Amino acid sequence: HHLPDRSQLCRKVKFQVDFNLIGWGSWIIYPKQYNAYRCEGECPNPVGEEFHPTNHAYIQSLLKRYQPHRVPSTCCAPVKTKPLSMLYVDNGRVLLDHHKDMIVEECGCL
Amino acid sequence: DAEPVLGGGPGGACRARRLYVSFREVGWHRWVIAPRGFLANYCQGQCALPVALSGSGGPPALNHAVLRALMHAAAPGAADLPCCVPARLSPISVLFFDNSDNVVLRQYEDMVVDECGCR
Repeated sequence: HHLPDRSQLCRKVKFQVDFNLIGWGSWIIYPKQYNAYRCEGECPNPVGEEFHPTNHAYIQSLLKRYQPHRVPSTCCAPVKTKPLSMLYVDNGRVLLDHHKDMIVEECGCL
Repeated sequence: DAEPVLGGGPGGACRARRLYVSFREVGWHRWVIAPRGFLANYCQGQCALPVALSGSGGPPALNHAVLRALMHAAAPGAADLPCCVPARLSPISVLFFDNSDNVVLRQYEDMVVDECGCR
């Protein structure tokens, strides 16, 4: 089993969300699209501290290393997120609100 | 918490699966005195719509995960599906030898998966 080269490991990459494309364009006034970022890449086994594993994730990655068929690898997912301010229409009213967990700030193996 | 997987297989919606881990299996048995192992569980399953929206009885998915699933549905090449990962974890108490061979009782955080979610 060869280790994935570093550029394929778990990391944050650009991810453009287009509200018109998913059918939300009629009620979201602004922004119509934004860079949400996303998490992409493989989680090594065992997983190192640079991937912000929980204790559970670390143990799962050890088990994956020694007994590959018992568990899946941990998954590259957001460990830190940011809100997004959105201007939208709700029941005829125009609202400005902060929606949480809309932008990925940091990725890890969970 | 986690129900046993009926019929096996990694399929189905994102949820916790039962998993007992012996410390011997991960090489921790030399320094952990007790317990011998613990019910760790793990997360597995799909985060496609509509599961990614509701979390199927579990915690709601991150807003980001919902958007990712919606973008995947609209343009599959643009984004893959969100991950099924632990959303709620519990600690366990461990009795172990520290580096100076003292016997220590410590609570280890985030050792057991109680609930999974799409992230």
